[in-house]
Amino acid sequence: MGGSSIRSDAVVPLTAALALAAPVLLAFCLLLAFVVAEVAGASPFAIDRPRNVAETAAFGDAAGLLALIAQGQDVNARWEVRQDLLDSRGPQRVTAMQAAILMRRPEVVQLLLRRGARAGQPKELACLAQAVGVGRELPPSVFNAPDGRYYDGSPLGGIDALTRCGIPFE
Amino acid sequence: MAMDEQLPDSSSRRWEFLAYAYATVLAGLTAYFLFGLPVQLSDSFANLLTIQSGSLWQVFRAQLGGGGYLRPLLQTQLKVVYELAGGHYFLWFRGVQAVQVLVCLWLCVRMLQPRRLANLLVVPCALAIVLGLHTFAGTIYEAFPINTFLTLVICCLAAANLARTSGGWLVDAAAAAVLVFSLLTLETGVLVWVILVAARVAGARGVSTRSVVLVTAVLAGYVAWRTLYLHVGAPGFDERPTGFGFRVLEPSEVMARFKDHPLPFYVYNFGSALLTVLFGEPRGGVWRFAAGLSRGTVAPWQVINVVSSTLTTCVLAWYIAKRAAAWARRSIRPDDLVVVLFLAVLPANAMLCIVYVKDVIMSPAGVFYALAAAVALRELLTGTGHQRAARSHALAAAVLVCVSALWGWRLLGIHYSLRAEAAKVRAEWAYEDEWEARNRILISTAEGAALKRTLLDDAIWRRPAPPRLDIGWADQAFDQTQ
Repeated sequence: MGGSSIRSDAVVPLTAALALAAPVLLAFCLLLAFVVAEVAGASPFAIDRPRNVAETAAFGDAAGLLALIAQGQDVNARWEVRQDLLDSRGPQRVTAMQAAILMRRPEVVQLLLRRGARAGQPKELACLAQAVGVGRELPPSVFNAPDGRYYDGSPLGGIDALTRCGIPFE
Repeated sequence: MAMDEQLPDSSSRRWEFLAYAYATVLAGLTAYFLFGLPVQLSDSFANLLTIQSGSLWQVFRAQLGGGGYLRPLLQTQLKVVYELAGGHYFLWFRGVQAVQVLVCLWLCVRMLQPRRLANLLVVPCALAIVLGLHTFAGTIYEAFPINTFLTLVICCLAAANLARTSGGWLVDAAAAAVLVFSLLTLETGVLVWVILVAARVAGARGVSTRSVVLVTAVLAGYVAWRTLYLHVGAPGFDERPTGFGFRVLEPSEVMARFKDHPLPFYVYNFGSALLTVLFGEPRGGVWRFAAGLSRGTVAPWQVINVVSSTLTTCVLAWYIAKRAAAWARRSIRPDDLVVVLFLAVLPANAMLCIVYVKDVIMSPAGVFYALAAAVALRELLTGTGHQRAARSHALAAAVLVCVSALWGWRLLGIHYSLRAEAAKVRAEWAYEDEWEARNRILISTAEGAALKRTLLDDAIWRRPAPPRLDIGWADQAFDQTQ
């Protein structure tokens, strides 16, 4: 360095000027491009937005869940959840509460119950909670099921847990 | 290739225009992320409930009680914006924060006086340090719902900018007004006095002896009013958890360890506050990086933070060493003023952390650190133009590119973290009922219920949530602990 220079009142070697300004300006440009893209409607690096209350519950997005409930989505209906969210073998049709249990989000289950969700199959839900390993956070009484063991075995997840507990998902 | 340029007035105006334009766009980008954050539940909602009823004067008077704090203008500012908002709380409070960021960046640019190309070239790096430094993060992550730490940063920058004017009675009055405003907003406001006095000692033309006498009289009056009339003491160290060593101590533990001999605790907190600005470690008094090293669990963002801060501090130390002899002869260049102010603000700010350390309390020192670093970087930049060994040129360029790249990374990180924070704040509102019960908050008035409904609706569905980002490596690469 040293040959090329930018001269104002002090001589600034071009290489040094680029060394100082270029990396941080690159970061600035990345930030600017990201914001422009989002404003234009693209969603770079974004998770695909959840399409219904069941997917939202699976993501643990409590605020998004309340927004969809406010928009009128039925919290007790079964909704299609995309492949890979609950299980890699394919999409499932489950309720928001079942999705939250499968993703081990007891706080979302409690929120759903406070917001009008019904534990329609108490024993099956208690089994599901125990099968995925959140039986302590979600005891059977949460679902109005009698206390007891509804699942004994190694932890399960996804379709296996639903099948084992007798919950339809297709 | 050579770019030879003269420096007529129009040229210096062009550099200044470019610097302010850059700061404006950067503030706009930050504002975009800020507007993704709803008004917070914790701190913000509770504070708004407090100031909802009563007149402006009653809100002011209510804060003049005893205890360890005297911050009457803090709540008064909330009241003013609350009343102006007329129900549009999100727009007003976030708008205030966005404007604060813009003003902060403008004042930083003004301090750097980018009338020459070399000064312009350091502006992007300087502003990246301002925004990317962990001590600044707390000024934009949170709002109460006006972030008083950011208000204080602006007051400190305003005082420093006043010192750079040509002075006069109007400047004297403005300096006193800034001091009064900042002292009544937060105890950290005393830094405004430190800045004005340090600027005077350094020979800044904007601060006259008359001005120093005036602001010192204001400070003395404040102290007398606070202690003798209002009987407001200082916060005790039994009030909050604080970091010590490798973990956070609860107030009861602090009392058990240091009640009888608090000096080591104060010294530790003072040292921690100094070091966190200079080296990015410890964080909130906790040596997280060191602990991570010993356990082999250091995250890449921790390495980036510590290396970027340490490298920048080395450049600053080099500059101070280079200029120290001249300063000893009282030969202080206009650019040196920024460094002198940093050297005055850093220990004074750290003194305000002796009871408990929180990174954001050091935000004024952090901003002056960024400005001082910019002066040092500019010296390194222009110094490479003189006759020097090729090896020195290469070393200087390597340092510049590393500093620039690392702070550019941290600039991206703070914005990524703001997006993550938006999801957290929204989730808080979803569990608002639990929060109310946990904090034993009783909303008994129709006005309070309406406020809750408005803020809840804003957070949950009225304002569309920004997309949640899915970048697998980001949690390791960007600091989200701030």
